[in-house]
Amino acid sequence: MQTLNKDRDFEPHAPLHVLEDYLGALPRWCPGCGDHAALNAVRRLALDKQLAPERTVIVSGIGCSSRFPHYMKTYGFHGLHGRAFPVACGVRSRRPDLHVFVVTGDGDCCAIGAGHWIHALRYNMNLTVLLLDNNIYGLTKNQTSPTTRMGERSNTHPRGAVLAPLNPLTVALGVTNTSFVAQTVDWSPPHVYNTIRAAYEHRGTSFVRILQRCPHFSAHVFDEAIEDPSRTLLMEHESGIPLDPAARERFPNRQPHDPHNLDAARAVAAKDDVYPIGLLYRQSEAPCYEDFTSQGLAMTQAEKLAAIDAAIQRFAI
Amino acid sequence: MHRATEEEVGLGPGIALVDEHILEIVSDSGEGAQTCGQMFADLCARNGNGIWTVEIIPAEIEPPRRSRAGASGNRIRIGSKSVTNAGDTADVVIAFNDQVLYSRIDAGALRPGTLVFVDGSWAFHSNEEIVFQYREAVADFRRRGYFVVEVPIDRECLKHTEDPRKGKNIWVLGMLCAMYDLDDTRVGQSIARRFHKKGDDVVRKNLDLFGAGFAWGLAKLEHRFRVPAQTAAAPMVVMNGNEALALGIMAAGIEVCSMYPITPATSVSHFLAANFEKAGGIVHQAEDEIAAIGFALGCSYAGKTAVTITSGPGLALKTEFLGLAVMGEIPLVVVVVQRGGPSTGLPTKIEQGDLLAALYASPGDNPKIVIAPATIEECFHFIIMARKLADEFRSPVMVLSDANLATGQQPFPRPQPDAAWLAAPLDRTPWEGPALPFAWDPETGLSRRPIPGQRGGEYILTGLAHDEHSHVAYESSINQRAMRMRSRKLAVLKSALQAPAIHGDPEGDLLVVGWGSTLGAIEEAVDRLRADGLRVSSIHLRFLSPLEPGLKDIFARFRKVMTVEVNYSDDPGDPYITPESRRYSALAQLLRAHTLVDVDCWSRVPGNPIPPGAIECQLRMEMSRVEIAGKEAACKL
Amino acid sequence: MLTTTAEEITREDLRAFHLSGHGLEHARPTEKLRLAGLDRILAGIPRLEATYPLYVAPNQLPRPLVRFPGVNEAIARKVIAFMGDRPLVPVSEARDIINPSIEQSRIPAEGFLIGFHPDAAVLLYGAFLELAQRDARRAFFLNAKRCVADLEDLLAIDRASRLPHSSDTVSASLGTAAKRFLCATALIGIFGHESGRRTGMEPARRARCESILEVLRKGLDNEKRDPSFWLFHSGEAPSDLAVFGGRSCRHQDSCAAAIEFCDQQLAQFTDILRALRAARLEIESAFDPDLHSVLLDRFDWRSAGSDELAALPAVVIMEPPTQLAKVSMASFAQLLRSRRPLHILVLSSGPFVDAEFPDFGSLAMVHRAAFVLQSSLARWDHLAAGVTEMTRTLRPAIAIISGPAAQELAPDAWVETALYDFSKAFPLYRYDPGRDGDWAERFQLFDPGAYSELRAIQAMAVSNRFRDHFRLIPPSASNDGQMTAAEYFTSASSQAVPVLPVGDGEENQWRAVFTRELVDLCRDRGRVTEMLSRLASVPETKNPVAGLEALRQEGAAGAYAVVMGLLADPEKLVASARENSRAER
Repeated sequence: MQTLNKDRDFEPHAPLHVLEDYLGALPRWCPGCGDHAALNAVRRLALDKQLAPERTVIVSGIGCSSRFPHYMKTYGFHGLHGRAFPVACGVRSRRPDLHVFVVTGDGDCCAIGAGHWIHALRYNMNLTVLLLDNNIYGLTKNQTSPTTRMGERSNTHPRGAVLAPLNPLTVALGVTNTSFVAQTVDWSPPHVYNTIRAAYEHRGTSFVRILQRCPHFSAHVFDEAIEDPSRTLLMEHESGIPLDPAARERFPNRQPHDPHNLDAARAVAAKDDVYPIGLLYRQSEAPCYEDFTSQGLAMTQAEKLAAIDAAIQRFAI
Repeated sequence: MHRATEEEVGLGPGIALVDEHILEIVSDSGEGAQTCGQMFADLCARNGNGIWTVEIIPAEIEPPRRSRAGASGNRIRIGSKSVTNAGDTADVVIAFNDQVLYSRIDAGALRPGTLVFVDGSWAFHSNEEIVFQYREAVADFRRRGYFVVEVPIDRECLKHTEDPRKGKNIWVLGMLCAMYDLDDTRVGQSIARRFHKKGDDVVRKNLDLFGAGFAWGLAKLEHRFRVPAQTAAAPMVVMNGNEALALGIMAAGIEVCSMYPITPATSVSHFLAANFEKAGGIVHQAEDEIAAIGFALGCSYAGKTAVTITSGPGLALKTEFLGLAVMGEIPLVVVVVQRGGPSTGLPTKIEQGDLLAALYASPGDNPKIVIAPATIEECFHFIIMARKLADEFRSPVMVLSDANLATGQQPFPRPQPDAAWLAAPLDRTPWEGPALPFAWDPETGLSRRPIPGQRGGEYILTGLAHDEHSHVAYESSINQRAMRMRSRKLAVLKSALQAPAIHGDPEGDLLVVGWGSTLGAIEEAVDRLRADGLRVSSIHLRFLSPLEPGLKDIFARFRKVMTVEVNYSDDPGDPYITPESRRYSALAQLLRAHTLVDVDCWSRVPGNPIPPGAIECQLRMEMSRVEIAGKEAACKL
Repeated sequence: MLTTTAEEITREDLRAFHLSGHGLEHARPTEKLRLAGLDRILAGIPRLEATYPLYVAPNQLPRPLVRFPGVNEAIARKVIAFMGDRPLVPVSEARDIINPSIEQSRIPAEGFLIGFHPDAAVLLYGAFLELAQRDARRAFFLNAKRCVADLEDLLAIDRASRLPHSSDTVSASLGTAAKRFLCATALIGIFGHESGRRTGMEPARRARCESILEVLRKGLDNEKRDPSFWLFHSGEAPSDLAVFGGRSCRHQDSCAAAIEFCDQQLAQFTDILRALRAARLEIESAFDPDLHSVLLDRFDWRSAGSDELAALPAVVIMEPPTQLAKVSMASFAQLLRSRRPLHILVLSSGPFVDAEFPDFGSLAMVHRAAFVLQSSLARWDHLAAGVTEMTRTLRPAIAIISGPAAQELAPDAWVETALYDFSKAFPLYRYDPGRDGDWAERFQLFDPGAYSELRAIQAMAVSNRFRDHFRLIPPSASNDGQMTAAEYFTSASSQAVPVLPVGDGEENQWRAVFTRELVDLCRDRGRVTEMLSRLASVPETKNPVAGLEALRQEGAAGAYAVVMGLLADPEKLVASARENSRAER
């Protein structure tokens, strides 16, 4: 018996959203800041996926990048320095109906918030995480960040950073239950978009590191990577990030990489001579913590009261 | 202690009628004196007696045997009426060995005449030193004036089990039931209940041990007692404060309890972890204290007001998020089960040291609601009140319990769950009117908030100074106004509070002010003085922020006002301690600042609940001072 | 067996019997014929009976006991013997026989064993149904439960917004302890201040929500009561049906009853489906009366998702072919046209005989909208695969399953069933109109392999069902007017009388003559098989998009023509069938 599925008739007819529906306050980032690239990509994603603004929550910490939510016309939570992850997990815990994004920076995520970062990856709740990494503290005016390369000068290390930088990719790939790790760069907007889109479509915590420049304090950190194609490595795979012609042209140095292979991903991530670009790792079977946290949502008031009464009864004398 | 004679009717031979009794059971930890105590307390409660129990806990899981520091067990105060505190010295102590008894002596739990039952089996121990040590100790006990009875607990148990360490406690339970003239029928069930998971053999063995202990008690005990019980009118429950908190969380319709393990708060989450799911809730064990409150806050922001539970050190870590909760006006319930501080302090012991931290910790002005239950029953009901106030006032609400309530057991009328207690369901309907997440009512500062999912209510919550739209405040006037609105809410709540009830006459010479778990001890002490005609009264505060109204007027009707607290304050007369340099206890500081009354304080930090007797003698001293001061004043005229 | 002597049998008698099927009463066989060389033939074909007993357990795929590690054919046969004429036995009973050495974990004790038995087909079907529907049901009713919870929330919010803060409600919501510290009336004043109190929903909407809630609650209650499938039948139903959550309904014309019942069930279910859709809209505050009430009125179960319909307890009909032909022929055709998820199990021992009942398989294929499975209990893997598909289809579906006749029991019952299969007298195939792709996808004929010396006639010879068609004659009665079946069926048109050699292969064997009717029957079956293999071998196209429709037409037309040829009778049937198939085109 053929079932002609007329169910579209009963879709809650959400208004068709136009770009304006997602435009919050006017961005106050400096001209040329890499954050704009991420913002535009997310706005476009929202439009293409017709995300209901009321069902979208963008959680951030503190820092330039963490001003992100203010520039979207959705729900947002601009919280504490380094604490975006616990809040985002809490938001998602009893509200599987919400699309939750986390926008964080290299200081916010890899320094003060590193502990939460690692455990959020392990919880693997359905979050889309954007690490806007410009290798520097911008809002507090030019201090060394965990990802600042050795020798780079800053106000806290005027003679150059004394430690090798932390590699967020290898850290993420080292965490149990990590399910999605990708890297992209602000000088290839289409690739940024495609990466964020893939991240959004993944079920679980998708971690995207976006290499970008602060026009004031780290304007030139990626110059060689931009000028010398051999310093970037574009990863290709049919289940990887879809590549547009522009990206292919921009990144002639390419290699096939199967994102399901964790060892290969770790090997690529650990390369210090090139910046890997694309999807390093994805696995869709990783258990999601929210399958645990969202249980009992369908419970009716009567059932709850009965359960509470039973619990009290255990102490009756 | 009133002791009656055998002639009194209805009493078997050798049974003395007493209207209350304090019993302690101590053993090396791992020998189950705790279990024994809890089960006995439970039996008494079921029998219709009032009880209050205090756990005697060593700091380690399994400290060396026969060591003073290793003592573990229970104090149970049994009364024919309801019992509100642990009382003074013990009438009966049962010690599984002589050394653990010393720990109770050191704690001042015994008095000359206390009836001491100590395991006499040690006298036959293979190790000479132990035998010697034991004989010395017993002799010493007698010198100290205790009435020592040697009971061959170990040897009796050997008749029924190869490892007495695992069975003694139940044998002793049997002996206790004989001693306190409790029929053993109920016990069968409670033993079965407790051990059924471990299999029928274990149940049977324990029943044997119990029976043996009971029989031995009937045959051999010279001292037996009965604490008459009254059958309660309403159905009752008996539990400890943490269990009450956990049940309160369920009954308040809270769906998420986010925590990080910390003594003595953790056991709340143990109970929840086992039962919460059935009521549609979950326990989230976070990666740290900060994440625990962050998770709860995210959950509250998304429309499901959550609770986080912690203790002093955890509270210290949560303060930044507490500030955000105030700033973002996010409802949240924070339960703090206080322990000894500062720093790691006394993890398993009792103190009321976190009042000021709860009130003020977190940078900037952060007005929040702080309440403190004074009884185990209130531990249950206050969570429901806290959740409701958090939602209505869009504010974090701190609930201060302490280790005394957490582990103490007390019967109270069985609560009947009510749909009205549950949180209002999630509102997904579109937001009406402009998206003003902080449309402060100009008078009350109250406002309704949009919940993610409500179309048209979209806003960005921020910890930055912000206006009604939650837009970052770039102009100076906004901050002043926003601060005013957030602070106003406390004044508004206060306007709905009632003046505290006065225990005793509304006026007199001395007014004692307390808060939290000291309620029972203070009122018992006050009653003893009043029985001698002294003009003492007391009030006990539940709301600490905002403070309950009318305090200044009440204080004005007494010649002296003092707080009694379980936290630190300088003692007057100590070197360098002058009225000017003296640091007062937490509540005293608060009241002085609040009422401009010269409120005195007496506080101690022994790690144990302060017994009514200690308070009593302190109050008598204060009274004599007050009288002298009065006479002097009279002479001057 | 020696009931006759040569003298009494003349060439004429034989011929007369061969043509008419009458006479030579004294030569009528009294027991199953022992065909010469049958043992050799059997030795040559796979031992299908070894797949029995089958292990079935709730929520587990049924599988042959022998496929458990540590179980061998000998053990399986012992178990069969132990089961006797019982179709279903709890594993626990048979454990000792199976082998104490196999530890519990390997063969879970909560399971059952199904023997090679007339009832096996129905029990198996029940087991597969439970598997096919379990997840769908769970998902569907969890979703319904969510909707109920959300609607209750919606109404609660509305209630709260309507009734003004009263001191009772406020103090109640604060818990019992608060009364001692908080003044409720003062709080009312405070909350009254609060700006932007929401307005409640309009009465019409409230009424809507309440009625939706009503329907969903009822649906959830029924779900608890419903069985996992309904079995309609005219005869006896297997007693162990309940093991797989089935409930039996006895009716003379089971098809008609099933259709009626199915319609009621669908009607009730449609209300729930409507309610679910309305509920989602209400929860999202997106219900637009002008638009959606119209759409909802138009909505019926055909527009439901297959995942939803899968949550409905299946309606299964179980009949022997003769009963179906006698009583339910009309309702049968109606059922195939009905487009409802109705499943028929026809339990046949051996091939159809026009006189007794039509070829239900071909008949159903002509309707083209129905799922058709012709399979055999003796061919476990084919049966399992086919039934799995059938339990998942939501079309009308029919399975003709060849198995032992009632009172025929293992071990020798399987011989007959197996021979029908290997001799292609009872061809096994599956026709699934739901498959897209080319015709070969939809129609799959099972090839039992080439056993040239096996013929339909041998299968019939060992079956009680056709015993009347045989006569036993002694060696002395053999003459040149007789011809062995093997030669007979290959020679073009012969005047000779066909015979089968009987007994052990020594000199001057006894022989079994059989009737012309059987000859024709065998030839017919041959043609059917041939037709089916022609259907199956419709060439695949490299370019489905282009060639697809053409092939559909060709294949179906072929089937149609041939089957029409076969169904001389009954007339009205042919007419209706033709009309339907036209409609289909």
